[in-house]
Amino acid sequence: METKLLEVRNLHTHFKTEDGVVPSVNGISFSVAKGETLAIVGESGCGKSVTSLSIMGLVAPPGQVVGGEILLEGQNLLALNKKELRKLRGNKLSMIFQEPMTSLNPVFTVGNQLGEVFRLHQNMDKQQARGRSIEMLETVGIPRADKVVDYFPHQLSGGMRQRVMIAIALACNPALLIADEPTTALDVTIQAQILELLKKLNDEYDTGVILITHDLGVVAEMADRVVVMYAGEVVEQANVFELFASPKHPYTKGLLGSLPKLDEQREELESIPGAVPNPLEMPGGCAFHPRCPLATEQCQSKKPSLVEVAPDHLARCLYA
Amino acid sequence: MNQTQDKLLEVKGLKKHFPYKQGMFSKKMGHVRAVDGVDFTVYRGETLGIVGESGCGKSTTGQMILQLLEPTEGEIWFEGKHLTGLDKGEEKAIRRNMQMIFQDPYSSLNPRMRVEDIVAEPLRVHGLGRGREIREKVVELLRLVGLDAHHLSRHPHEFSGGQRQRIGIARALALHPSLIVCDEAVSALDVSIQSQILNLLKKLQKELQLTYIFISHGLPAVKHISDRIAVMYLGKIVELAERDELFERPMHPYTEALLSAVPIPDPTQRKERIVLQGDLPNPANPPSGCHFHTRCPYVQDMCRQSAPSLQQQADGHFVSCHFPLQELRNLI
Repeated sequence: METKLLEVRNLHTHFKTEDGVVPSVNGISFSVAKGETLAIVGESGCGKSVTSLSIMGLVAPPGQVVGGEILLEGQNLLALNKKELRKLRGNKLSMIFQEPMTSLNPVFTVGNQLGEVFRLHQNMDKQQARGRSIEMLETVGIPRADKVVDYFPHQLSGGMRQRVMIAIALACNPALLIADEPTTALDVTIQAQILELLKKLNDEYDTGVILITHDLGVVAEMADRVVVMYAGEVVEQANVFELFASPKHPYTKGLLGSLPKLDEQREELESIPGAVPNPLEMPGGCAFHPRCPLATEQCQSKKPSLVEVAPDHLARCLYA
Repeated sequence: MNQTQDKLLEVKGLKKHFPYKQGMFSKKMGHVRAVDGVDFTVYRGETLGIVGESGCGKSTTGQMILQLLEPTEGEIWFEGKHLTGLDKGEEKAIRRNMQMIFQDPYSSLNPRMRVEDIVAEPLRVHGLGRGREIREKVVELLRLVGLDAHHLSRHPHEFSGGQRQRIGIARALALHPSLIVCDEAVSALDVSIQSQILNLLKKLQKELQLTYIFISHGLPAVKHISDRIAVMYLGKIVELAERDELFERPMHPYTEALLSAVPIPDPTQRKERIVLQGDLPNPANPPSGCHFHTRCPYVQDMCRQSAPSLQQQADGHFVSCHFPLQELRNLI
């Protein structure tokens, strides 16, 4: 057994709204090994981003982590106070956000924002921090790094900003990197550059990566293992080859079938009828049953649990 | 698609330059060449896909066809009529025959209007029926896109993204247009919903003999729905061919890189990609010669000096490159 870098156990994150409590993350468990890339996939509203914010300790009110454990190298992050958490974030634990346009501060230079990481976590002075910042920008493939370090974010293209975000996230050589839709806002040729870069850095630094995405193409390309989420729960979990070759949950099968593919031409795409349920009116039994082609009466009343259907392959379905 | 077919739309030398201003006195600094000389034909009943990355001019092209933007230069012929310089009345009549489906189903429907009024508005504007007649037409349109009569009095916020896109489609169909421009019509939707809408668009095309221009940056969706595909880069079409021909035998280095960059949803097919270096150049100041030369892996001296034009290389396969790719490569 590889050493576990991160272990999430039975995590619950709820949002209290005027209309009631929304269980965005409803009892999920998974782990990430050192150097491993774990992809979390699902459609909008499935709870994948809230999961990552919970790990980072960045869930903002009215949201709240209400139960479970998040162990980073054995240390429970949920038991830490703000100050202790702040020490970890950006250091051992860091994150790349989807929107490189809004996640950088527009009124500070690149060097200022990147240098902050070194000044806070490694007690460097301004001059040292600047030197390290330039090195870091070079690592993520930014040309003329000694000039770019003095640029403001608006002077950079989307792809360059995302590289700066990655440089900030990797500055302290984190043990765990969470990448939340890191390429969704980018064009395909730029996406290819960024994915290539993430792969290279993952190999070089042996960083554990949680990759959050809705794009199954990106998953197939990058991940070692995959967690599929639906309506706040894990519905399937397996290694990437197994998941694409023999998906067990009807939702996963539906997702894979609904993709238009470049290497084949079909008259009609498979599709999953209906839409993701309203979290305030979750269907009883299996949350997927109203959209499931295989649903039986049992699915309406009995909630399936996540069980091992093949070695290291979990699925939450009565018929998997 | 061959040349004997009925031409629905023809675009010749279409250009759109946006002036940009800078400084205290808003001095005109130059022009952003959003679309810089585009020619293509759309035949009745087909789907022409237009792909490209952000800023390549694909949406601007769509908006000029629909008369939402005035071209700086060039001609648009629709059903044999020349579309520039029409008066208001003629423009309105032409617009009945061409409609648009927008990207964002959240902002393209008026939140204060009921579904019935949203779908009925085009009918009312063009004076096609009144009262009960209109309601019947609206119900029929909703059925066509998979919605129901009981949705009539609801507001857009009561619907999911996919359902909203269906409302937008019903509105576009209301006037029985011959041409529909779909501008990133499925890009904002989740995977499982995207496939529902793609299937619906295909079904409607068959039933109503529609012609589509499908504009998107998502190659898999464009490939799924299109008969022919135009690839745009920095305001120009760099390649135009039938779908299978384009995917099996791309001749422009940009098309080749674009195809290679799309992640394939199959982990057993991981492979080396052609990764283009650098970013898209600034369209206000495009590179000399071939616009793509700054990122082209096969660039030669000639490419820096003279701009290639769109030439037919094989039957119906147009490429704008001095050195079109010849060998077959397994990209996908």
